[in-house]
Amino acid sequence: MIVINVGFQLVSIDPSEVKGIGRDGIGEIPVKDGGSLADAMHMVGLVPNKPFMTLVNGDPVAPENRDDKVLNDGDQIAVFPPIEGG
Amino acid sequence: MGWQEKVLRVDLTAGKITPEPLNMEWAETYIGQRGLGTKYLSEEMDPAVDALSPQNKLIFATGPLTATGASTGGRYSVITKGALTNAIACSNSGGQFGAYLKLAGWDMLILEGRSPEPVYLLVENDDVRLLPAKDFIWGETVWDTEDKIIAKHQNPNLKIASIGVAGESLCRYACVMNDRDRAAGRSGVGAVMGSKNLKAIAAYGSVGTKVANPQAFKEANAAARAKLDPSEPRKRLSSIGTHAMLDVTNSYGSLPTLNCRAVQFDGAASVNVKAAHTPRRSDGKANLQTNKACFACSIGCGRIASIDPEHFSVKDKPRYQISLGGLEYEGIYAVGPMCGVDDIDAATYASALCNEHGMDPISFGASVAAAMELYDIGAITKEETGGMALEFGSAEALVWAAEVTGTATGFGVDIGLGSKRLCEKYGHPDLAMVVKGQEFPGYDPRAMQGMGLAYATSNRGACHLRASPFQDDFAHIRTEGKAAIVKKSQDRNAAWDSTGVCLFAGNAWKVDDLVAQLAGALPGNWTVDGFFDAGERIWNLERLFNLRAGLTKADDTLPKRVMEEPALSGAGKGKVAEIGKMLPEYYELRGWTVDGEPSSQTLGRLGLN
Repeated sequence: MIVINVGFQLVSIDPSEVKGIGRDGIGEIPVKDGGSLADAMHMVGLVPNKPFMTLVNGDPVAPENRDDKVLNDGDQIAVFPPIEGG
Repeated sequence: MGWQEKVLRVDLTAGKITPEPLNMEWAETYIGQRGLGTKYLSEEMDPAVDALSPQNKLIFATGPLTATGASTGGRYSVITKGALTNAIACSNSGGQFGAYLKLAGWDMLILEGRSPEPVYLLVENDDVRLLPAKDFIWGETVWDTEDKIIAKHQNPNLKIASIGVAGESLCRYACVMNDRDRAAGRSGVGAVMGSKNLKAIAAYGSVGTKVANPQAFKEANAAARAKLDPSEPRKRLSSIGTHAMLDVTNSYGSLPTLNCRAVQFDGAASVNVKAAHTPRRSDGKANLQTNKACFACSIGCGRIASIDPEHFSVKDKPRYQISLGGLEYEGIYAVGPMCGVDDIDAATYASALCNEHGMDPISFGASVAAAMELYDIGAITKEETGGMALEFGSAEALVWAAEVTGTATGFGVDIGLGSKRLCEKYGHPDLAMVVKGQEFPGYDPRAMQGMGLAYATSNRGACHLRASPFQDDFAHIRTEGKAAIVKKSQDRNAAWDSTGVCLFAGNAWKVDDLVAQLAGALPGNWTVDGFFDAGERIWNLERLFNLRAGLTKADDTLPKRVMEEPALSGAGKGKVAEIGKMLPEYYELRGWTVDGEPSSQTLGRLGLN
């Protein structure tokens, strides 16, 4: 199986709860070629339909589009928690 | 039954204190706190009066769930005409004070007129007195005011709401502070209190509260707590606080930076949560010491911090080398990225001075940022500042600004005008990042279009708590669909802010969970639909107040900068805030005319004729 590597950054999420990500919340994970953002989130143990907010290469990807968002080698994914207010 | 059914009316001009029954018909229609306080204000006062005149009224209102044992149920609001905005002001605070006011047997305080001499109000159950503040606490900081009142009355259980020198000197964004570091922070409610020569209100209560149906309330409360306590949002707010939002907005490109010249901050890693958790070299301690909770709260989003004792801001100042109220998101955004300052100790010190002197850190930080831009373009020089180089990124300038503004000294008086008046004074009104005169919170509306609409239509000026478009804004940079999200969440938050419970509980609860508690605490038939109807009624009542105060559709807008200068980076790169695309749909959904006025049909539907 051909795999690609994508960058993964957790923003304000405890990295100890996520598989394959360093203590600084940054890592690189392998995903099958043609894999989606939802696949990548599954790989690290994040449930895609939870209300996380996600960026791929800086562009937001809504929860309903994560299955259809095909990743390319070298893509950078960022995941935020659903914080409100301040 | 949720209510004490008692209001305390204080005529400060005459020094007269009069108890009166709570209007229960209004309480059923406007829930309490924000809604009920706005109803009283609207009925009793001409909204066109000068906010700093004796004709303005100042209302401290609790909610029906305040001090009942409901999770996070310790809130109160200060409702008045805002000194910063000349619009309806309603500032919500936690801590202990609101609960103790209710436990003393009072649902609401209505303060009228202006005392001929500085005074403070002592409320110990039914024993209520106006006492002289001159030569005692007038001129003192918030912290010293609390300590002196407690020492004088020999009651460590007194909970105190007060103003600092900022409020006394009518700084336009002065807060009402309580419990040292909790604030009814926005819109200048502290300046209104200062204009009335009222320094503080000290409350102690042992009356207790009752609910209408104890068994139903107990069950609803237990069910709600069982949802809140193990929830991820609660854990996250407890461990990393609202401060965590800084990494989110910076990554997304919606972090207002350098007075909104930019939307991402190069120095974010020096002032983010990780920086606050990292032990420093000097004493091995981290900036963040622990968290702090308000009355009946299991979240504990409040931060307690310490400043590096070797830092220039506190060296040789033991007063600040202790544990202090720490950095929360809105404060750190304003005194950090907005000013270009990447020094976490300077930011913590400036934030602490906002607490000590009673200033809203959002408006303070954004006003300093505006002053820095005026200095950058030469509209302000060292001649005005008295020699300080008010440069973007200067921690020294930030620290100096907090000191001179908090004590109303020199150029600090100008910073205390707020961004709008400051930028007008120096000939560049477009540099004020405000709506209705109130400074932006920490969300740039170019990447967050829904938040832009929320700012523009907020009845109290730019605010991040009047609507909740966060999740959709972080998923879609578009204008479609935002009007409905903003309208619905404005109604929901207006009702929620009227209950006595914290908005943050809503990260774990649905409206049903809150309505079940209201149904247990109060008589009557409480439903989710009725809750939203009440919220819509409250929103429209606030709008009517503003229209009577002279505000118009023209005030539902954003600064020129965010509507004309595209974001330079981030997810919203190249975009501007497109308020004109969203506002007509918003008015239509509200049942307002094209001029932004509630139609007669809408008023009739809401019982506001």
